[in-house]
Amino acid sequence: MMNNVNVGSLEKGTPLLTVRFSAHGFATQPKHCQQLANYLITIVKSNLSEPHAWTGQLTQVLIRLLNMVCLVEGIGKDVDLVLSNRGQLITLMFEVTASAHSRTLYSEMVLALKKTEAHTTYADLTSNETNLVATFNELSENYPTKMQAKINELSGELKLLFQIHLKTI
Amino acid sequence: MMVRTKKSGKIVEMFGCFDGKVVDEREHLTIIFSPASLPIKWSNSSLTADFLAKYFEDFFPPLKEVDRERTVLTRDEVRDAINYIANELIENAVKFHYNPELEIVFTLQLDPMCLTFVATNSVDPKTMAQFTAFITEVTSYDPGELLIQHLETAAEVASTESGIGFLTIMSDYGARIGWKFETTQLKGAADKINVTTMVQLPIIKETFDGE
Repeated sequence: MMNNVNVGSLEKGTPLLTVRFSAHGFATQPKHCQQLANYLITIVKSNLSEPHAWTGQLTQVLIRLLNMVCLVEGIGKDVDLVLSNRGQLITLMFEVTASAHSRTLYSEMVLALKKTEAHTTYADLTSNETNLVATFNELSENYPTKMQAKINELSGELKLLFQIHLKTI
Repeated sequence: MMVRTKKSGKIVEMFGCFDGKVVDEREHLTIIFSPASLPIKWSNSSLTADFLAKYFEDFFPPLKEVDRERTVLTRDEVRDAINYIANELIENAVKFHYNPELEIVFTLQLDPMCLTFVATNSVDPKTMAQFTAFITEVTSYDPGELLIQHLETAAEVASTESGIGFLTIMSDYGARIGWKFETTQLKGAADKINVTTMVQLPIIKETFDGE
């Protein structure tokens, strides 16, 4: 049974490429973020007939998100990245299962996006968590984004889903 | 050895060394290709293998820190092995993938004793007999001797369907291979068959001892 808190309804496009990985490797080896971002972009680019501006944007977004989330999550949590397209939009879906310490943070982030006032005060954030919030906020200001906190009521597991849209033209 | 079971309306057949255990906690990376929306080019196999090799090599110590009494592979050897095995499995999965509407899934997982490679793709039901005959041969004889035989045959008839890749993985890298076929029987239509190929590459000397 799921209990969702949404900001904007998440859209389903046609999946192009999906990557699922353990965050541990990224936390201990930060260069993996760059490697994965480069790999994804190269695969997508190799299937394009001409260069597109959004591939450069995607590289930047990917590296920042991967760095931030993996630093916060550390050991043992899975991250899913789904690259899909829908009409003239390329969508990057970022899904991470919260650990005990990030659970409250993710719930607060989703609720903060729903509020109309400019600032939300978070309690007791580490420097990594502060940077993560700042990254999400900045991305939300620059790109159309949607966010969802999905709670499995049976297991109590919380997943944060973050969707970011890039225009292909 | 072949094991055949039926569950949830699917016939499951396993050949060779197929370990069905899934352990999520370990270091792992899965790539899911959707050929219907993003066609997979030939070069994508080597790109992916190269990325995985560079990604996973960092979990292994460099030569000067390796305990050669216990460890099978150094960092450089791991990179080379991942590159070869992943490229071989992805190339095969892409080459023989039958239904483009279905995904091709590739996972590399770091287990305590071995690196586990898992590739899943769909298969043309018409090629099943040929495929299982090849698997029976590969799992019944010494891979080193078979490799020499297949290399000689391939040279004589200029064949590209020789199975040399699988035999090299077993013979030169000392890895174990297993296959799982999942067949869904449909009324009035051809069977849907998915094959999962699993390669277990030892990273610790005693990995396959006593088997």
